[in-house]
Amino acid sequence: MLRVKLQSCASRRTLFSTSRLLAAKKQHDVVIIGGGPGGYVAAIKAAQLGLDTACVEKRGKLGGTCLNVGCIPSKSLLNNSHMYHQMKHDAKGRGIDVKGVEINIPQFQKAKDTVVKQLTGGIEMLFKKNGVTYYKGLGSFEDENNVKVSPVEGLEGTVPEETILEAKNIIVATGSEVTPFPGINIDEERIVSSTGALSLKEVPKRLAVIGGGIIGLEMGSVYSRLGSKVTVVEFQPAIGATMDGEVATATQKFLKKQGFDFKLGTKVISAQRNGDVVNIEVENVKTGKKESLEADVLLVAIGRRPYIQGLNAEKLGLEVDKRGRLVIDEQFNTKFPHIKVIGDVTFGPMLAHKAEEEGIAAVEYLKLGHGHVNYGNIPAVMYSHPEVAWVGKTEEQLKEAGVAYKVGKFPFVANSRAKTNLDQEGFVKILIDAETERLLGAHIIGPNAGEMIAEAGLALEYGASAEDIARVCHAHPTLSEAFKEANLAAYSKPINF
Amino acid sequence: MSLASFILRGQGGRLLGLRGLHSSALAYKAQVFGMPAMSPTMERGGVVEWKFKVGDTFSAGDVLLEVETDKAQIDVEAQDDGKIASIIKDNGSKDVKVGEPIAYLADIDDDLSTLEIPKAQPAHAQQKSEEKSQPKKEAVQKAGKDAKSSKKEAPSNLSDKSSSGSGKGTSSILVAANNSQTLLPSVQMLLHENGISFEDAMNKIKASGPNGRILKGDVLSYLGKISQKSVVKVTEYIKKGEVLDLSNIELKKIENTPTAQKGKPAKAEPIVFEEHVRLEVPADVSVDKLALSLKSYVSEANWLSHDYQVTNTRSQFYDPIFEDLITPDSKQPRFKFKYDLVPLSTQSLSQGQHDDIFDLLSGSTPSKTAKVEKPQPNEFLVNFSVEVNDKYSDAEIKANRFLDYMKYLESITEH
Repeated sequence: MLRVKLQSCASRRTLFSTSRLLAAKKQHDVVIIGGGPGGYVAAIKAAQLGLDTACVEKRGKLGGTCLNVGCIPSKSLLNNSHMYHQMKHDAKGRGIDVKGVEINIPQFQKAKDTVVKQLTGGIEMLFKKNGVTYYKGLGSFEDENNVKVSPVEGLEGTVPEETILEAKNIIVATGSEVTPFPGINIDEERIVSSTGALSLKEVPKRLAVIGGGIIGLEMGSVYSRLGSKVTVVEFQPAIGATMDGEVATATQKFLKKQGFDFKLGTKVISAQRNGDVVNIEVENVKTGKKESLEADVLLVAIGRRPYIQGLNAEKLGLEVDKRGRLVIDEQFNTKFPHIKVIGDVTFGPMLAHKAEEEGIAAVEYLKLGHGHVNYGNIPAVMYSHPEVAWVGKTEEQLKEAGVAYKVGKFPFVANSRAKTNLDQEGFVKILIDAETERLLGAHIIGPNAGEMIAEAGLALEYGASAEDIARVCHAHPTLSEAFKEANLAAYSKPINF
Repeated sequence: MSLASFILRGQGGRLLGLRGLHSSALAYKAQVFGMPAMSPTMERGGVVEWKFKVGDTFSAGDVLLEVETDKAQIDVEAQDDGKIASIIKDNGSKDVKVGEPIAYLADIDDDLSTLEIPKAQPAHAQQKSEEKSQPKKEAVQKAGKDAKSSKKEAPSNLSDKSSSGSGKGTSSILVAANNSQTLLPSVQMLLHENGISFEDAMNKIKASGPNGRILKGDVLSYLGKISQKSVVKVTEYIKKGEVLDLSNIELKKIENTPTAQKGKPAKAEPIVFEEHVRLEVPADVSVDKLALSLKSYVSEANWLSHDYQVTNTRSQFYDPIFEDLITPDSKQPRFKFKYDLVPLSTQSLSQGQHDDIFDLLSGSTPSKTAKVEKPQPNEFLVNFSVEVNDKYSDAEIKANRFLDYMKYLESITEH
């Protein structure tokens, strides 16, 4: 469906990107700087609400980090490496004899690139469909009402000359970049960031990962399935960043079973490439015990930081906090009410879907005077196998806030569908208020947890109690029954456990 | 045609359940049917032909009319059953804005003669008036700090009698119930069980849910089963989390420094534990005897250390069966241990009578072997080395448990 549409508009693309942009001065109701998940969604929404909208993107492809070097390509690798691993190690036990299963890295990478290309092209088509003017170039502030778009050398379809966009409203959605590790030189070959890890030319025998967050664990999963020996070094005593503590422990457990090696509470002192190997010096934070690791590839995945390079925000005196985030108020406004900031470059979790919500809300504030983002209901998903997904509060947060709560848990081992799929690792954990029984948080480790978490989000948004969820009919046999049963367990007793 | 059905439903603001309970003016009103948007880019369209006349009933799936856009002619299907109450834009009408009313629809069993046809008004005005009738919608969705204003805006169509029930100490976070809500199943059950009618619920129960929604906790508090305080507390807590925390922003002054990692309580993960236990052994105990009883003690300690599940220290809702199911390979050893027994001082060793190391060490000799003079005890050092199998999250705890058993040996001796 998408492909057909792509082809049909390909012929018009040239017309679109050249003729209109020749003039050096243009006027728009809204100019959005950045075409990532926050920016492109805001642009489409603004156009749909009847605003003359332009979007400036310097990458040459829309979709930002997420679509080009983040969520989307990593999911391609994760899904395909999982299939490979299953064919190789799991099929036999299911009565399927597959011979000669081999990984073909060039094709494996090509499958990923194809998806990325199709999806980025799809957004360009959506721009056309909705009447968003797309400027390929570097956007920067000329003053508080004018955005300058400069041509990017070597970029196909870039603006032919410097263009000034006079804008009634400006939305900054410039996103984030990989946080470098001080003293470690990322060459994207042997010492890689998440970007380089997505396009390794061969499977490293030994992959070391600095950072036990979601990016590190996902990329670790990919190469672990393809045969790498993966060692994760994490400064914190636990993996999984903001995960519920119990879930983080269980996650570590299943990853260990899959062959991951964890060095927690361990800091990296140095890492150096010596020819085809990387030597890493680490130190246990508590005991001070030092250790040397050797790896074929080192992935540095310690997080991301706001990206405002080249934006010229300092010219307007836009405030930046200590972590480099552009400062906003609750309606995304900077000190100029007509300049709004959304997504990774400002506060809140660095997640594509959070940026999207903010993009919509920021435009709605512009047009309608009211927008809606519920920051208490932003799900997070790790696409390991089994997946880990959560939304709302963790047990640790509830304890800290002194909220009396109850827990309902249901293991997939007691779920008929998981059992028949021979895919029964994990559990659903539901946190509810002890008295009102209102849902406060949901944490899932399990097959397709990322899909299942949507139900929790809906329930949270409407203030449902555990009973409300448990009284909703869930199809049998499905994994979603585990979600229902965990809710039943939270306020009463589960039936099948 | 899902688009069309969306529009039909979206504008059919009347809920069946509500209608039976509220026979007010709200009920017998025809629904505005606006020009459907057949594509996201469509702004205007024309009516080619109505397939039904005024008064005709239609069923879900019937083609209601044909709409033309600049690109194509498209059939608009109905998903719900209904009746044509009135047609505003006749066949051949052109250049009709998306959303502009083209007809009024009614329910199949509505009597058209008594049906109230709303005054024609442009689509956006219609929307606005709908919003006005539910002013709480906006107010409630705003952050907690707007709660005061939501109180002021409390809709006039709601009852003034809302002070009854558990209304004492009402917080501004609890608002009058939105009487156009579909009840949550838990609420429906509770109301039914306690013989509370829908109207009574709407009038008397304060709502803590979004958009004036009555939640289970609200009914429980109304019934006096839980305190209203707990409802207020959890609602306030949830509301606080709904907005970005923009307090305590520290502005950057000089150059950007990459952030250090956040602090969490530190927990080390050593691989090997060493423990040295000093034993004082009565002189009448032979080395062999000691070694033998030590061996059996150690193996029992190993078994005990492994046998008991490590309770989840984070949760007081520990369930052993659950833990057992999600903990694989509970039989696998969580650690390996070595030890050697080094004599520090040895005197002449004689045969002892005890097999049990507690008796050996404590020297609690059975009466028949009581001796008058007690020779100097021998000293031994036992060096334990425990290698933790870090494939298991509970390995470290179990290894420590094992070491505790070993340290216990020393305390017997000291005693």
